[in-house]
Amino acid sequence: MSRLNAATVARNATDTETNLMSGLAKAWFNIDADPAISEIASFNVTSYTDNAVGDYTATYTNAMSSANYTAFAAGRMGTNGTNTTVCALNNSALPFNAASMRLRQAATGSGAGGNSDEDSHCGMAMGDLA
Amino acid sequence: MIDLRKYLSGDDLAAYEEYIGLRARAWREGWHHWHRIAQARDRLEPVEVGHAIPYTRPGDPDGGMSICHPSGWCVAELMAGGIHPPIGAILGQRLLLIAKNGEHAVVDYVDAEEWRRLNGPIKYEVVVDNRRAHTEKAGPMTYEQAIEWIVFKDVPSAVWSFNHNRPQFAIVPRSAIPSDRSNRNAWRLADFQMEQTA
Repeated sequence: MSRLNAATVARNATDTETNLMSGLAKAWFNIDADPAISEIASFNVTSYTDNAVGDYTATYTNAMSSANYTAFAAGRMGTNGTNTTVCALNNSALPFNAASMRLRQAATGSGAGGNSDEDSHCGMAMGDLA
Repeated sequence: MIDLRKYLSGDDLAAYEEYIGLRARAWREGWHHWHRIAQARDRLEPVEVGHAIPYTRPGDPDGGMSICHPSGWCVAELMAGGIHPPIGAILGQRLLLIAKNGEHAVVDYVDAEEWRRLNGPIKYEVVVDNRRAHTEKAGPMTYEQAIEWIVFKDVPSAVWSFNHNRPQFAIVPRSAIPSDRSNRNAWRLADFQMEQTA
């Protein structure tokens, strides 16, 4: 099997800056929120805010260029087997701010009983940086 | 996409055009703020953060309390110095906010949350000037200074920028945060302040 060792990867002359910039994850995190938020690993995140049960905000260190980017969130399934994590932002038509994303661990399915704190939540943002 | 020139004029438009050019150059030449964070991520270990910042929004006194938990990596980067800009560069970042009701304004980052709260649902939001974050670097900080930097950046300015008739936030040891979250949504700042002075 061949092996490639390289300290840097040079840009092809035909590549554009935009493609290189857009193809990278700009921020990501993995936190444990039960019983209190503790950070497992992250990149480009300043802090996590515990807003309420199952409701957290991750704030980016270097913000995105606008609120028109994409973010993903996931969480460990709760003990009742019905929880799912969604991205949301209160009081706004936008799913995210340029500088943060808010995620909620919401119970779904039969027996749904509101938000819950779980021991693993993660999120990632992709798009253009400010 | 919207035409930002419909909303920007004069100094705001000139600053935006200069910023777009500088940001592209920063990315191409590898000195974008994000590059500095990426390089630091490879060489720094996270700091164990022993404090959290519970706070209450003055505009929502009956709402629940929020608790800000600083990132150990960000604290390590601030303590190392030369990676993040001074807090003034972050707070002075300019945003164009367009509300669903048609109102729009160019505001500083430090005022953005309050503008969003007063003007309701936001339709469009874009950073129109972030030059200083790329060109300025803060020196090494102590742990306490790093926590303060994060408070100013991530705790809404309405919490810390005005005089209130009672404290709206506290910096407390993480041990003051209850491990039992069964009554989480009923927590109040006063509970933590008692812990702080106990």
